[in-house]
Amino acid sequence: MKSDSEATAHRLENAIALTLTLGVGIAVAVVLTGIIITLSSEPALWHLESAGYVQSLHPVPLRPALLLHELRTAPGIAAMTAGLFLVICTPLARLAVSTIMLVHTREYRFLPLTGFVLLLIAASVVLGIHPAH
Amino acid sequence: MSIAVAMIALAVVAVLAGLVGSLLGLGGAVLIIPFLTLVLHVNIHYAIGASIVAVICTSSSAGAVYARSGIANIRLAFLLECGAVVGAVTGALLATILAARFLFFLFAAILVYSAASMILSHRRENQRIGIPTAGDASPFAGHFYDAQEKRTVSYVPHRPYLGVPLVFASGILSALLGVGAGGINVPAFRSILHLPLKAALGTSSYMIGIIAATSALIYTFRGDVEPLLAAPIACGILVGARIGAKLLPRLQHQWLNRAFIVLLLLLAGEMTFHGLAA
Repeated sequence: MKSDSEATAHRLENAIALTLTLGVGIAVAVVLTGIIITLSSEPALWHLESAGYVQSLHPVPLRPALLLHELRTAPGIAAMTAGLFLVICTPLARLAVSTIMLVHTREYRFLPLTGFVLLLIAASVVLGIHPAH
Repeated sequence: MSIAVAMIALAVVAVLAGLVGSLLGLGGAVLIIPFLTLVLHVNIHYAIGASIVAVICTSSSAGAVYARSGIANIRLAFLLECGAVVGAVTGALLATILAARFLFFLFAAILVYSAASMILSHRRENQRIGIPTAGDASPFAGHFYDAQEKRTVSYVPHRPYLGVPLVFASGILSALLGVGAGGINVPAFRSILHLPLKAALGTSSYMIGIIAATSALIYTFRGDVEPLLAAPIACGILVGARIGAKLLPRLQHQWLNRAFIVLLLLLAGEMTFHGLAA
C-alpha cells in the first residue's frame, strides 16, 4: 500500500507525463499538417534551389499579426509556425501543470522554485519581443 | 538540391539524430547542426534556432517516459531548473553578440568534451552514489525501479545546491549552441550530485526541455526559428526518439558508444575547420 506522499508524487508524475505526451503529440501533428499543405500547395519548392533559399534567409520576428497574415496567404507556413510554437510551449505547460498540482496537493515548499522559473520565462518572452539593442 | 528535397533530407537526418540521441543519451543537435551548416550551408544562428526545437521534442518525448517511471527526479529538477533557466536567458542574449567563428569553435569543443565523457563513462559506472540512510529526510531523495537489475534503486542527491551553478553554465551553453547540454549535465550529476547513471540521464533529459524552451522563445520572437528548417526536424526527431527508445534494450550499447565517439571527433574536426575558414 502506498503512503500519501508516494501517491501524491505519482499523481504529479502522471500529470506531467500526460501533459508532455499530449503537448508534443498535438504540436507535431500541427507541424506535419503544415508541411503537407506547404509541399502540396507550393510546387515551386520542388524546383527552387535550397542554396539560394538559405542564403536569402533573414530574421522574421514572430508576431500575432504576422501569423494571422500568413494564415490567409500561406496557411502551410502558418500551421508550421503555430505547431513549432506549441512544441516550445509544451515544457512550459508541464511547468504550469506542476505548479497547479503542487498547489492542489499542498506541497508548498517547491512553489517558490516553479514560480521563479515561470517568472524568468515570462521575462524571456519580453526579451524576445522587445530585444535590447 | 531543391527546397522540398532538402526538407525531406532534414527529416531523415532528424530521424537518425533522434534515434542516436535517445540511444546514447546525447542531444540530437550534435548531428543536426553539422548537417545544416556543413551540408546545407545554413547560417549557424538559424541552425541553432532549428536544433533547439529538436532538443525540446526529444526532451518532451523522453521526459514523459522518465517522469512516469520515476527515473527523472522531478523535485531535484525543480531546484536545478532555476539555475538552468537563468543560464538559458543569458546564453540566448549572448548569442546575438558572439561571432559565428567563436560558435563554431565552441561547438567543436563541446563535441570533443562529449567524446571524452563517453570514453570515460565506463569508469563512472562504479562511481559512488548517494545511498539514503535512516536519518535522511532530503526533499530531493528519489527512487525508481531498475528493470535491468530487477530492483528498486533509492538514492539521496549529494549537495544538491551545488548543482545550481553547474546547470547555470550548461544553460548558457545550451542556449548559445542549441544543444541539450546532456553531455555536460550527466557526467556532472554523476560526479557532483552522486546520482545513479539512469537517474542522471533521466533528470537531465527531463530538464533540458525547459532550458531549451526558454531560449527558443527568445529565438522565435526574434525570428531565428525558420519554419521550413525546424518543422521537418521536429517531425523526424520525434519518430527517431520513439524508435530509439524501443531499440535500446536490444542493442549493444558499448559498440554504439565506440562508433559515436569516432563520429563526434570527425564532426569536431570539421567544425574547427569551418571555424578557421569563417
